[in-house]
Amino acid sequence: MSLVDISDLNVTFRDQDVGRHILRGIELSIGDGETFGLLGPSGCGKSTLLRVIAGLNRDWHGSMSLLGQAVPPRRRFTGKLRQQVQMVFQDPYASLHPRHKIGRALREPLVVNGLDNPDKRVAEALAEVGFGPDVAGRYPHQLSGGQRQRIAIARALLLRPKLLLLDEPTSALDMSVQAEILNLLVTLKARFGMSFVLVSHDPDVIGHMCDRAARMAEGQIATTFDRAALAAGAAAAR
Amino acid sequence: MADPTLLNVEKLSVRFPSDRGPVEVVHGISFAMGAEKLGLVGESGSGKSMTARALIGLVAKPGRVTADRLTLDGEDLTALTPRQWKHWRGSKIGLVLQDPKFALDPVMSIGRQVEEPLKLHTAAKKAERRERALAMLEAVGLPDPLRAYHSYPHQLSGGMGQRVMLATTLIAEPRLLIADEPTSALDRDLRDQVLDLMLKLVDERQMGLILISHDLDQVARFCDRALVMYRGDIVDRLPASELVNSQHPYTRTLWACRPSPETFGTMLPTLDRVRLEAGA
Repeated sequence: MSLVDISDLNVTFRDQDVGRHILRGIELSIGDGETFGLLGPSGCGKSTLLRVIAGLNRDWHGSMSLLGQAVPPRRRFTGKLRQQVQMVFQDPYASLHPRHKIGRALREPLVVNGLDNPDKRVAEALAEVGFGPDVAGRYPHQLSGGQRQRIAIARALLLRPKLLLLDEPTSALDMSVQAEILNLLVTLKARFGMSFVLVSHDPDVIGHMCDRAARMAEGQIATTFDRAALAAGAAAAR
Repeated sequence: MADPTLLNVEKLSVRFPSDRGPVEVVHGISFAMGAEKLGLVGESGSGKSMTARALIGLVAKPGRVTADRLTLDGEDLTALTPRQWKHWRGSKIGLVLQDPKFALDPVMSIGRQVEEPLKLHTAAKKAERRERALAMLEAVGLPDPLRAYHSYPHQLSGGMGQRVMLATTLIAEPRLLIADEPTSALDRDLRDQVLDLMLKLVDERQMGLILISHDLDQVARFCDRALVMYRGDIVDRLPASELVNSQHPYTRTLWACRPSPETFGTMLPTLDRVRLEAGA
């Protein structure tokens, strides 16, 4: 089964009454259990594509189905999709509310989705990313960038997603911390049977993480790579 | 080692007061360098940026810098007053920061920003300043220097912004350039271009360069020597080309933790911080 099926996806933004075509005719299919990479220069549309799949950008044309469920444009996600598709953002500084303690940030998705035992689930989620329960009482500014990104991952995992969308999850981090986060993602993926869509401008990260990948340019998918091509270093070549 | 007289640092420490007594973020480090390219590597929080700030007199209060010896071109930096520092910064030591979006003044035209060091540090007249600024903008590889001269920072891309920052730093011809993660805000393809340019300009002017980076591969490719910092100490010193063969566990992990297509399906090595601290 494909987890993601996208056909002829188009996104245009209005910029002072001039339409700007951000995504043109994207065709994409991502299988269950896959890690799929998206790479390309800034402004190529890779983050926009990710936001469409996340349901954050609903203004698109074409057809899309996620986890076997057809998703119409201009509608919010309904039912299970709200839990099963989660996202981790690039900037661990901006993605956590500066005046909410970690515990509150993590409880929010649970409360919104009406899940029971929030405290226990928060403690479990923190343990999954290597924290003790006392971190719940801290503020984001008391944590380092890598620690915050682990919190963001814990928050995304609370709802046991099938599909995790990762928008440059390590580009704001040191090389050594990046290694820790990538290892964590690989471990959690195996443990919870997730699929990943990983956006990165770093071909090494894509080559390390992905089963398949696509290079985007000017809103289109320019090249796709299978594992053999990635292993041969094709993602790094221009 | 090249002529070691450009910069001499002995027992440089940086301390900040806290509720639990002073916290030392740089622990009495010593090194010397000539007109060479020195890489300063380490994780965030290892003290490499704080070292750079101490060298250029920009450790913000209440931080305190102490050193047994700190000389540039034979002149004692520890004795400088804030007023004298103002003269030294820019004319003798230049600093290039990570992100041009934050380091350039958003409401000042590029031309004025590039000329500013000349205004502060030289007697050059207006016409000469303009001429030198345009020449500098051309030297840093901007395709249309005149247009860049009249632009504002938001009209430039990240790579162009970084070239402008390099121009503002080099125009007063400092002896030492400190580049603090100069390329980490740039796309990968641009990184080597900007570094190549920086190295070319540094070589032409026979300046010293301290390149601060957490990317060991970058330092290995672009620098002569490397100092590896961990928690405020220099834990490893070696020729940059030898980084790949380092025996120090910290340096080895920093080198080996880079992901690549060959590491697919394997766990990347990570720092065993408990062991490192026991060893330190």
